Amino acid sequence: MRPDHLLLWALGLSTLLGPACKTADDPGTSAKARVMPKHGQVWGRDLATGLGLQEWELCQELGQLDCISDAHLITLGGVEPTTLGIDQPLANAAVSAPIAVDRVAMAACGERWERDLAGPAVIFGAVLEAKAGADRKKAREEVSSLLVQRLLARQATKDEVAALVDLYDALEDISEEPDRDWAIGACMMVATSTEALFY
Amino acid sequence: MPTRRDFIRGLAAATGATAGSSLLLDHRALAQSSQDPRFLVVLCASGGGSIIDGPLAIPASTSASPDTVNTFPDEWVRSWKGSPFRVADVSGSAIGAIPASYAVQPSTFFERRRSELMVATLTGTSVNHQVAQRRAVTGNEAWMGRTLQELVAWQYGAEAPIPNVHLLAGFGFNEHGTDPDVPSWAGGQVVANPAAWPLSLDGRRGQPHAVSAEVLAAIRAQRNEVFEPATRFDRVFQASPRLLEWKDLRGTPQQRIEDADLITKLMYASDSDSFPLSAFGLSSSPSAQAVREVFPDVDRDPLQAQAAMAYLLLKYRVSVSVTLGPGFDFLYDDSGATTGDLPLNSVLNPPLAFDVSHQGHRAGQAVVWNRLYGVVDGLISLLSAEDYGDGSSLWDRTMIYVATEFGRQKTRPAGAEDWGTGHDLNNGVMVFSPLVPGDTLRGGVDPDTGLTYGFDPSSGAPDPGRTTAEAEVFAGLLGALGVDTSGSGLPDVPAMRRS
Amino acid sequence: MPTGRLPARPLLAGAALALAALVLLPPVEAQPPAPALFCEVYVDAPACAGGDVGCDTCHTSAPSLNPYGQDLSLHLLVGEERPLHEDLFSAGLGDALAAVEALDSDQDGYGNLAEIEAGSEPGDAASQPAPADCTDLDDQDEWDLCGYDPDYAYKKVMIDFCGRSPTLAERRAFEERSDPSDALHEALDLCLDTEHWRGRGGRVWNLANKKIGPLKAVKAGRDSGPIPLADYDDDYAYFVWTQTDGRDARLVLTGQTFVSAWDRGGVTVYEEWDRSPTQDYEQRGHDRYQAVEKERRAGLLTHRWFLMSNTMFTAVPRTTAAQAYRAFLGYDISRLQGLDPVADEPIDYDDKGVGAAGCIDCHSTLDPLTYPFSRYEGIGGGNPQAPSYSYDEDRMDWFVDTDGADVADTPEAGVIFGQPVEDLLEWAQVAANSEAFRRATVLDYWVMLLGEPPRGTEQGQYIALVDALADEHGHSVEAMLHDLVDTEAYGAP
Repeated sequence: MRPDHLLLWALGLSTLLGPACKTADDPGTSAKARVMPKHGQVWGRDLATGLGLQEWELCQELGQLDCISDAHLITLGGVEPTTLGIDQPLANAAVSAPIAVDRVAMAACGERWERDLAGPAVIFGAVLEAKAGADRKKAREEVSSLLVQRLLARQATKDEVAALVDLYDALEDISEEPDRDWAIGACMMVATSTEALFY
Repeated sequence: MPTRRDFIRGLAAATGATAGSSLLLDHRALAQSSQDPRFLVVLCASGGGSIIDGPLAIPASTSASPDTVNTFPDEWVRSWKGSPFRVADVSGSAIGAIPASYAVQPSTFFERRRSELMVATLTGTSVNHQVAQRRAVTGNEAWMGRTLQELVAWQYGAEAPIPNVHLLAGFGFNEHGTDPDVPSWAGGQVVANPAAWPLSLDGRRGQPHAVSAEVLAAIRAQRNEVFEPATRFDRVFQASPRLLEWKDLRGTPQQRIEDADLITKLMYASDSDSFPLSAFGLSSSPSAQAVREVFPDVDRDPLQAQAAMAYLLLKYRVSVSVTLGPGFDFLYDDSGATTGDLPLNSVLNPPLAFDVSHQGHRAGQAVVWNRLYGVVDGLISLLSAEDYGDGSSLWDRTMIYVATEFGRQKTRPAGAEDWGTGHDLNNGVMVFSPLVPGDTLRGGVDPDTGLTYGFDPSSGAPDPGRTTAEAEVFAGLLGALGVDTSGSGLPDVPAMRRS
Repeated sequence: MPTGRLPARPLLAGAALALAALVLLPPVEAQPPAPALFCEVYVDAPACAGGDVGCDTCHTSAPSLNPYGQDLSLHLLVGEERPLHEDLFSAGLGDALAAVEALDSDQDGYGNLAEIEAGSEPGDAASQPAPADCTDLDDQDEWDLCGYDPDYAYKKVMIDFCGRSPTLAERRAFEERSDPSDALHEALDLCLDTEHWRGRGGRVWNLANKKIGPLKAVKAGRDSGPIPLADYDDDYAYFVWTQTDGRDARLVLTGQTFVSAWDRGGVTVYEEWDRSPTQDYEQRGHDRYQAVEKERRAGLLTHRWFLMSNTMFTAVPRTTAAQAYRAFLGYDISRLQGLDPVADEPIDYDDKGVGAAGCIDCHSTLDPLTYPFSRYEGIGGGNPQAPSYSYDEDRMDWFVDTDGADVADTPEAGVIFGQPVEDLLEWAQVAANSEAFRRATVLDYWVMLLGEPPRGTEQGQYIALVDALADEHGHSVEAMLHDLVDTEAYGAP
């Protein structure tokens, strides 16, 4: 058994055995612990709605293959019973699914950034308009809240906004275009979070 | 029949095992195994590939009932001195109801490859396609419902990025095993579209709005370690097996896949207008040309595409078990001129693959077997040319198991040149590998009935009074692959491994 | 040579040894009476709320046993030769159940008896008793962790049935409703009419994939394959039609009309039609027409695609009956489910050797289940004068050359669930009115929406839906779904 799987197993067991709903630090966990994966097309629809794009504008592999309905159809939970014999979504997540999800989100978030740059801006306007210093941080906070609202359909918490804003610090020294990369990265973080992918 | 003594002995063995180091947690041993791997290719002969239409063809002159048993005219049958194999070169003008002429010469393939072929006769337990397919890879649930592919992946694939890949889906050959103790990473991964799949093996390359690898790593880390844990959803459902699985995949598996540059290495597709790799900063695999020379129809024939991917998965040590096979779709070459009937050999895959035998047994079997021989031949060529690094080739440690669900009815309407057949439990399997005794038949076939009979699992001596069970073939394959079956209760079948 | 060793399950290798040896023998491992016997012992167990416990209590996939099943096997009539005769098994099971009550077979920290009483699975470590009490320390946040949460259920309804998450504005509007239950069901009603749910390629359409088994290579009609034999669009359309707009789901087995799906401005419209085979031949051509006369039709069971893909050329079409049993009644005979042996069966009219040891266990149920299908032509092989996929009373006479003289004696009358039936129409009526049909129908949607069969603690909710489907819901799937989204299983996080 791989060490990471041992950890996974141990983590799973400890959480399952732990007292549900009871600790002061954590206001509670689901005893049922049952979530469903969004099928790729549902996730894509939510992503398109959140980013103000058409579904077909989200991601095209090599400029030719729609990422969700074609190139990564099965990987993202789709079915193709008539020629491939895949008559229901894969029982377990495909090993490449998290990579494919990142890839689609990067394309979609990047597309949104480019369009906002050209204007009119839908999501990243505050960052594009902010001049310097405190304004820029405030702009990132504003965009972070907006991303959560649009992609998760709820208000962001302070911790969530901080987590998104703080990405900028991590990028400053490694990115040639930190504003762009932060915008795409913050968008990806929300769009590929477990809350966006499962329900 | 297990006796009480057997039972106690088994229990004692198990107790001994747990008293020592836990085998389940012995990842050091598995890591060591992964440094000295064996590779399994399961080539699925979907629909019911009949062994007496393959390497155990029956010449009419050897049968007491040549007209009503599935025999071949003597002049069609080719044999080799000292070899147990006999194959028929067949031609005809239709495949069942399909007006398509065909002519196949499997003798040329057997001329080259029979030295690496072992046939083991087998009598299965189901004539239901899905059920029998599953039993072909579990030995009829012989070892806690574990599949061959899972077991090979488990023993040899601990360090491989994607140990067990299924390039075919929807068949019983592709079902997961039922033992929850098999680690999830050893389970089969379905690859539905081999050409496009490499694009899903890198989070950023080839994307027009890509960020750098370093930036992507920072984004992922911030998401995984800070943002996501801050969401209430993630905490509420933290024990969900689906979330745990997803987070696990984001860890080592993802890193291994991306670090291995599989988006390039597995890209057998050529740069073209319809697949513009270079325009997106991507390129074909360094092995693409060699693969396409052996499998020139990769862009049109799904089976060749699977075979190309199978080779690349083994060559680059991505996988230790690969499953592939023809689907049930009708596939034909429409490049030739037609003036009514389809041109000679234009049918690449008849509908329902081997199960087209319900309509046209002889033609269907001939065409589909020939199709599989081509895949075997190509894979052996490629794998033989691949230096493993220790003077041996990749082929030297590979097994191609031609799995099928059952045979076909052995009889035919008197004198019929083609006819329809139902399913028959009686059959046999082909195994191509340097790990098994070559040019060898385990068991035999009765030319008067077309029925195969079994063999002694230890000596390999043919035994007309015996049939071979699925579990015995399963155990024999595992033995040849060096999979440790101790504690399984599986029979030892030394006759199926090269001494 | 390799040094790695694969694990045999600790402590259970003895059972594995016995099992592995047994699979070399024909008799089956699973014991048909076991589920009922289990529930005779544990009458009040939540898992027995529906009558019999599920096979997965002891099996992973029969005949493979899960850890609990293996412990039972170890303690069951120790010393007796395997396989055990059914009577012996039945006599010994009670003691074995008692003997393993104190064990923790799946090693999840909960004893077997505790798990059985709590409704979790004693053989599955991932299934554990729910906490006895529950405190949601943050009752200000959006999550109600201790009961049905309308906001959570609303989001699920939108995703499951509408195919999208609710927007922030929609969620706020929902939260502001004083009557969340009404709001939830209004949303569900709207979603049940979306393409995502009921359109071509939608969720209900795809629910039929396993029942229909489409194969493009032999499809006729729209997007036809190279060898058009039948059009499964008829089957999909008919299935969706029976599941929507409050229709009686039993029509899937008993209806005598057909349905087509049309694209009208991006919306799939289902239209019922009723033509004779001749009329349909004239209208749709030789490769699509439905060839069974109205008085011999039994829903999807007599659709052209179903007969083509299952009966094919077979005299006694066991595959057809087995698929009907599996797809619409939830019993997979190949996995030893739904066995209900009929005395003196199988007769083996077609000389297939089904009376042999190892075959008889299943075929004593399957063969009498099959006879009523035997008069419906497949692709060919029967009466050359009768159209393919049609009903022909004398069909069996035409198989004498290939299947032996006795095949002509194959009766049309058969048995389903122990009840004699004269023909397929009667078979379909018995099937459609059975609890098995209702269970299978509800289970299809339960698994679709919850991703797994009902857990032990959810058996009561599941059975309530099954019962209501026949009673107050008049076999309407949509009415059942309104109840399903109200269950704790669906609406409690």
